[in-house]
Amino acid sequence: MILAVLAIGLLAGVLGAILGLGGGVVVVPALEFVLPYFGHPITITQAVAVSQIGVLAVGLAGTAGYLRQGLIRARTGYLLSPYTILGGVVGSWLGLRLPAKVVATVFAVLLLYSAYNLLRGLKRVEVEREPSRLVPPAMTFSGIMSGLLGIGGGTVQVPVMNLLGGIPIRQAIATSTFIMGLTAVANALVYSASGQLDYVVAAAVALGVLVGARGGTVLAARISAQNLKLFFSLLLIFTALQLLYKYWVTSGAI
Amino acid sequence: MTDKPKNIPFTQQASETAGLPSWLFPAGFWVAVASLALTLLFPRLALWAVGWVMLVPVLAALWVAVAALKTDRRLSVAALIALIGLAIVFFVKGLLA
Repeated sequence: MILAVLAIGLLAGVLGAILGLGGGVVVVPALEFVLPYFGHPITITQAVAVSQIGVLAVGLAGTAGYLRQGLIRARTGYLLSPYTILGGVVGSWLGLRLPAKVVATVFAVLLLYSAYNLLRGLKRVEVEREPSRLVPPAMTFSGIMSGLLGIGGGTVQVPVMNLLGGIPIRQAIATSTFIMGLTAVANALVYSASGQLDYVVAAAVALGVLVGARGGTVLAARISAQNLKLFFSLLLIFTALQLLYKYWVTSGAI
Repeated sequence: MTDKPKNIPFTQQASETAGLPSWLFPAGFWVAVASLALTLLFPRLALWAVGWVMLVPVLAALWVAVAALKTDRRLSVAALIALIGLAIVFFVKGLLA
């Protein structure tokens, strides 16, 4: 089983490095669907808890690389992180209390939104601009999503920092990766206190992500991101539909 | 008339990344890889290995809060605020779970 979990982490790390979209979007549904085949069923809350450590690993690997390139805005990151930490704690609290069906539905919507963004391409701004007053509440919202769904920054945080914060896209991605580490620490603390965090599974996911992220940067130069985007988008849509089916149609799913 | 650039709050300044130790995250990465790999053989170490992964961003914030105190007060305070946020979560996590 641990090797399968390691493979999930590897996949998340590689896709994260190539497409900028890995972490929870891969880890949560993959754990949900794969672990039952090994006689180790896992609830979506437990999968989200494990994913927080995967997100931390993405943050660790990404920050190490972006620091070398000088793309991280540490001060901005630290100034914004209290909002994402606050949001993350609220999201984690919600994640522990909301019915699994609700969490799975929000997750499915996020997967469909991610697939749409992958296919359409994110709207992005390259020029420095004055930040909007909406940045703090929007960062808090991105924190809520990370706590509730075990996702990193790629889906919500980067558009917020780029479009509302006026930070050029490459620095927004790097700073978001940096912030997600701190946010995931807070989220993981809440989930571990609830007893939902399986440390052995989390360690295997994190190892896979760290190794996959390293390897992914090498593969990124050799693989056509365009084809991979299309394939991954279809996979996200399929996963979203399967999640909805599992929680809304299959009887007995809690 | 002056050429001084407009003061945009999030604008990058030369010192903005200066407080972050460039060696800490790469070192944290390799220690994490080694310790997490050990958990494949010794699952009992998983708590410690995951704990290390969680500790790296905290150590970085702590380093910045202390190291930048004299050179870049705003950066130091920003890191301190993030640390205080995490400390609050650490102490009240039992109530939240």
